[in-house]
Amino acid sequence: MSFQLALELLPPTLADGLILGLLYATIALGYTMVYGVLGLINFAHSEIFMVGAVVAVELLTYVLAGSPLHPVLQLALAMIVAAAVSAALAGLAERVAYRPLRRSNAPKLAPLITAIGISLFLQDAVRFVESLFGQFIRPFPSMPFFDIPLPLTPNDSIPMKSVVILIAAGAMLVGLRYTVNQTRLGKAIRAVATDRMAASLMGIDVNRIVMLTFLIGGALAGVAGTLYALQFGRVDPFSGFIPGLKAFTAAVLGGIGSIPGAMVGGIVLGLIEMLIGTFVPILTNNAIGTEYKDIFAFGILILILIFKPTGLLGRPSTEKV
Amino acid sequence: MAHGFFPGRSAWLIAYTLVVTLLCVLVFTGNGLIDTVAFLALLAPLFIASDFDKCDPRVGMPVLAFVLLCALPLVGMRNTFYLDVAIQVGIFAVLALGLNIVVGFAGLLDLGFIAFFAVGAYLWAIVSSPHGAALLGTGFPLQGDAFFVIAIVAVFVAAGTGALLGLPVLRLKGDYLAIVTLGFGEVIRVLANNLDKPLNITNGPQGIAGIAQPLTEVAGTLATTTAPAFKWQALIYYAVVLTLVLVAVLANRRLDSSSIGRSWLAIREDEIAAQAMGVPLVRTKLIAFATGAAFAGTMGVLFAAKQTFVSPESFDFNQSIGVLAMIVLGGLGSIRGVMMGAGLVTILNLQVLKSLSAGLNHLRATGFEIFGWSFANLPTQFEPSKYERLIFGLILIAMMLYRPRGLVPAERRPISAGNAGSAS
Amino acid sequence: MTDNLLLDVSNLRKSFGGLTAVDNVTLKVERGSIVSVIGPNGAGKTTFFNLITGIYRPDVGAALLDGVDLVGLRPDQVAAAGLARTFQNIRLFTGMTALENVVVARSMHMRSGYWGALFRTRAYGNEERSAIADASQLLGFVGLTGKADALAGSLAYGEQRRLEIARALATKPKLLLLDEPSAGMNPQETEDAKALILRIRSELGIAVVLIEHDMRLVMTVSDHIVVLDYGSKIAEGGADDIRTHPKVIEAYLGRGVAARTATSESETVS
Ligand SMILES: Nc1ncnc2c1ncn2[C@@H]1O[C@H](COP(=O)(O)OP(=O)(O)OP(=O)(O)O)[C@@H](O)[C@H]1O
Ligand SMILES: [Mg+2]
Repeated sequence: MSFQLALELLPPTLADGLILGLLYATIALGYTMVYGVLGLINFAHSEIFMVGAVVAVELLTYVLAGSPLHPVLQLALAMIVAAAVSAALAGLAERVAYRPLRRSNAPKLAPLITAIGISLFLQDAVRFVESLFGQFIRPFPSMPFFDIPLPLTPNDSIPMKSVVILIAAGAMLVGLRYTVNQTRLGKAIRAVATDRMAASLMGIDVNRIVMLTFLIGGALAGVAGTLYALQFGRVDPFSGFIPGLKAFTAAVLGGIGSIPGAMVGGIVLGLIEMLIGTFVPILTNNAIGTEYKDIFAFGILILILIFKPTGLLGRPSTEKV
Repeated sequence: MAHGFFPGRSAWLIAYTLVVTLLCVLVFTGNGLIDTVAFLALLAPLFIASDFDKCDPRVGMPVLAFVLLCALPLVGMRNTFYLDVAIQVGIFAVLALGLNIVVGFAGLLDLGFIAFFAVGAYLWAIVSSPHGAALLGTGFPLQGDAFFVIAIVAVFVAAGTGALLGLPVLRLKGDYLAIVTLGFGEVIRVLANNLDKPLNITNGPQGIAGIAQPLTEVAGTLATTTAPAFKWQALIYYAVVLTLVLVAVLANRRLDSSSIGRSWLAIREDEIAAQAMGVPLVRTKLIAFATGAAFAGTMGVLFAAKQTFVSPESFDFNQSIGVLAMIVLGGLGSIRGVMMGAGLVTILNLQVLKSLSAGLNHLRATGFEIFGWSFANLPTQFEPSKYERLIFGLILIAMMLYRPRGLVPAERRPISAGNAGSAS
Repeated sequence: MTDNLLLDVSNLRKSFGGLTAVDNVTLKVERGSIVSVIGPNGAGKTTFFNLITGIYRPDVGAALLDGVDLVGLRPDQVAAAGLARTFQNIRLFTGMTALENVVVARSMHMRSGYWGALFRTRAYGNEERSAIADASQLLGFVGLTGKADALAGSLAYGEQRRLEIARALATKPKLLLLDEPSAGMNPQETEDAKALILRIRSELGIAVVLIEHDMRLVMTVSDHIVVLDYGSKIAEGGADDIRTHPKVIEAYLGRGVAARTATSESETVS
């Protein structure tokens, strides 16, 4: 590969990597926040994300398509509804499936197994509902506005949607940082994450904070779903699985439980994945193709777990004995 | 120890077993659903007779032996459909017993268990097929006789793979294992799909065909007009699977009631206390993980031989979840429960859902009407057999919320000062 | 090897974030002795145990048990090296019987392990039988003979404490660490606990380090007492030295905690 070609490929790769990374970060926040307050990997999070994407695509296709609204407004509306649906779903999962298990002395694996169950259930439930109306693989509706090319370098451009995603996901992350660092709610969430028992003794309604955490995480997943569908142009009931696994990897990379960690982890993972996905096939003459990029992400997960299980920004926690 | 032993009950059990056997031998409807019910009826005595708390072993044991060694083979030779289902149930029972060691005994959630099954299946596929011969060169493909050797090799290959995967993860909090195994299942699938280049190892999505079968000559010699070779071949598989099921049950029981089983229980209850009492955490978990993987690897070899064809499709996430659903349904750590779960889920998956789909399709095609509503309006997507995930998902959620210990909760038989290690 | 020093801990330190829970603590335990570690709540006593048993890793410092460096070992390796412990908030395997709890702690002394269990070799059977016999004997030693088959979680509080001691003894330790063995006990049970501690030394020849708040117990059984406060060692010596040590009195009384002198009978300073 010539140096010239590499130079040309680099800017769009980095731009795509950043976008992917912001999306991972937005999903990863849901994992990391729930993990922070409950110590539980919410396996259903990837499907909550997927449902958000499906809702947004359906809205844009069937409800908003003919409307005179500006495409950005249409997208914003779809995003809000998707966020609401995803949040409600996450809240529902917490209420009917996780909370009852915290009270009873169920086996330790019970919440994890239930989470997997919800995840599977949602995949097929969405597939079923979608199938009733036709194809369950849903294309993102054609919205030419989002394809308008914007110059990136003299001989390269990025589409409008990239900018929209950058701004929207970026705004979400900034907003969340603000919420967690500056508001009472954020303080309560951090308190519950640090010590659930102590927080409840201080008069914090732990169940309420846990519920709010699920709602926030779910809403973020809904937004991420909308943007993900916009970026990749389609969604299906199983399209939450891989991004979910990657977002979880991002959360671990950043340090699970750490909110800034999820953001950093997401962006780093997105960049690495895009760089590997672009350059490894070129370097190996396609012997190792793009299909392997998921395996690389998994390899990264294993490597972090071996060498730095606390992640980039996570602090080692010592269980009090 | 004949507590709870009712002569009347035993008589009923024996009578029931004989009648059902007779019915199954004589009456074969060819209707999938009815046959399935009949088959389940034939398996029921196994469940009842193996409960030695309620059923005197002097009655239970002969009933078990009769059903497994006479009734099933007899019915199966008459109608290989039964034999096929029995073999499938057996394969999944061993898988479930393997996963039971990991999840039920050691408390480790493995969501990619089928990956080890794939390792075993591809191992036999590659060494015993024309495809593999092209890859490996002279001396290959191996003949069917090598099956038993490779099955043993698979024990170690799969256990080794499990150890390699488990080592980095098992020292961390348990949840990581769940997600890493989930990812690993996906990795194996991607590899199976893509390792057809640069070097063609797995033959990609097309899969590998022409895999050798064991003991084909024996089946050939036994063949007669009424019982052709393929029936004998099925019977041979049945015998092999049955042996493996027995081995798996024995291994489960022995491990559970031994010092390693107690260590698993200890780390399940309190990792820190267990460690402080000298139980090496990673090693103890690794043993469970590798043992489970070994079970799966061996069954993979058998599966490949029986199907004579493997492709990535057979090893997708649904399969891993299916096995998990079996043990969650039956009861984590409960050997009888796990076996029952394996039976129920396999039959549900293989037969009930398919029959239901077929039935509905039939009604739809004929435009059958009920209260003025025509089945022709039934959406074509309404095919129960396609919704495994929905069903597995519901099983997992419902069991954890309402019956976390499963349909047949595990009953440990604690050691006591009197019976030092007497469990067999 | 020839000297009488069993445990030699020097300059141990551990911080959690900004809090130094154990600060430069040095402690020596001789064979056959009973040493007590006392101090107000949060002084770092339990953390000290956690540091030498491999549950936490010290920031600095060394801990030698019979010449074996314990720092960096995993908890199970520490147990194998001959250091056993109980926990302040009892950590039994509640779903197992009393007997099984004790037998678990014998596992590391069993050689035939996994394959032996699978193939039920004769060696395995013998080991299993002898482990059960030993465990029964230990249950007898702590006075739980009739409770062997009871689930650990169903035992009374005092029985659970004794079961934890039996379990720790089953690892065949050279040194036993007891974290508040008499906490929550009535005077009679405390008396029994004291007798048990003395018998551990006299009949089994095992040295004991004990964290206790019950001063009467501490003063009567200890050969040597170490006082921690805010992570640091503020005093050490015999019972009489400690009773009158100004820093100790200040540590307990200066906090405005229950104003009782260390000499008052059978009261728990907490
Ligand atoms: N894992 C941990 N993470 C953070 N802080 C800890 C941890 N373990 C102990 N600490 C802190 O270290 C200090 C010493 O605690 P420790 O449990 O050792 O006290 P103690 O002397 O045993 O008290 P008590 O008599 O109440 O048992 C306390 O302030 C405690 O909160
Ligand atoms: Mg303490």
